[in-house]
Amino acid sequence: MGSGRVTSSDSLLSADGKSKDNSSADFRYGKTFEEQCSYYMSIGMSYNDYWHGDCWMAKYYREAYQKKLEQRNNDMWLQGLYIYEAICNASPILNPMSKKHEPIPYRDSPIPITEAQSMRQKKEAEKKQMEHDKEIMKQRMIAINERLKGKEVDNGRRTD
Amino acid sequence: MAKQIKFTYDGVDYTLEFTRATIQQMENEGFVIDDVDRKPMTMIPKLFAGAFREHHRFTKQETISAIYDAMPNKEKLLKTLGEMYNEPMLSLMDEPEKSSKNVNWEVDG
Repeated sequence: MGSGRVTSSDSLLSADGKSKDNSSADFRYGKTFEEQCSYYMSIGMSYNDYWHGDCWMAKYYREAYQKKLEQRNNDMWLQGLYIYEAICNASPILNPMSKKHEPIPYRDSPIPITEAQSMRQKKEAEKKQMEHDKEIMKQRMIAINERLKGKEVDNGRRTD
Repeated sequence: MAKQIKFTYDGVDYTLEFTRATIQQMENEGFVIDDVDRKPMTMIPKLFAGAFREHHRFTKQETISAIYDAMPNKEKLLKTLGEMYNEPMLSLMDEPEKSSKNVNWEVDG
C-alpha cells in the first residue's frame, strides 16, 4: 500500500520540521478527513462508514488492503511461474536444433498452494503409482502363468 | 473500537462519540481543539456538546448543559473527551513497522 496515502506525522510539520502553526484556525482535522476520504473509498470503505462509522474501521480497511495487495502479488507471481513453465515445456518445438520436437505436456493439475491441496495431490499420485505397479504385477503374473502352463504341456508330452 | 462515553440521564441512555463527520461539523462552526487550553470554560462544554451529535443530534442545549453540570470527575471527562476527539485523526495514521530503531517511551508521573 502506498503508505504515503496515510496521514503521517510529517504532514503536521512544516518544511523546517517544526510544528505548523496549529494555533491558527487553518489547521483543521476536517481538511485531512476530506483529503483522505477518496483514498479510503478507493480501498472499499463506504462514504457512510468513513464519516459516520467507528473511526478505527479505517485502520482495518488499510490492513485489509495491504493483505489484498500481497495476495495479488502472489497470484501474479504464480501466474508468471505457470507461463514460464509452459514456455519451457513448449521450448522443444521452438528450438530448431533440438532432436526432440515433442513438447512436454502442460501440467495436468495446478501447483498446490495449500497444505490440503498438496496432500490430496500427493495421495492421488501415490494411488496412480500403485495402480500402475499393480497392472505391471498383473501382466508379469499372466506371463509367468502362461510360461508355467507351457512347461506343464511340455512335461505332459514327455511323460506320454 | 472507538472510545465512547455511556451513561443514563433521566431514564435516557446516552452514548457519546466523535466521528469524522461530527468533528468536521464542529470545526466548520468555528471549534478549534487548541482553544480548549486557552478558553477552557467555554470550549470544554462545546467539546462535550459535540460528542452528542452522532447519536443524539436533537438533544436540547439545556439538557446537555444539565448533564455536563451533573457529571462528576471533570478532569477525567476532559481527558477522555480529548482522546475521543483525536481518535478519528489517529486512526488515519500508520504505526511504524517493528524495528530496533523504534523509540521506547513511557508516561512519567
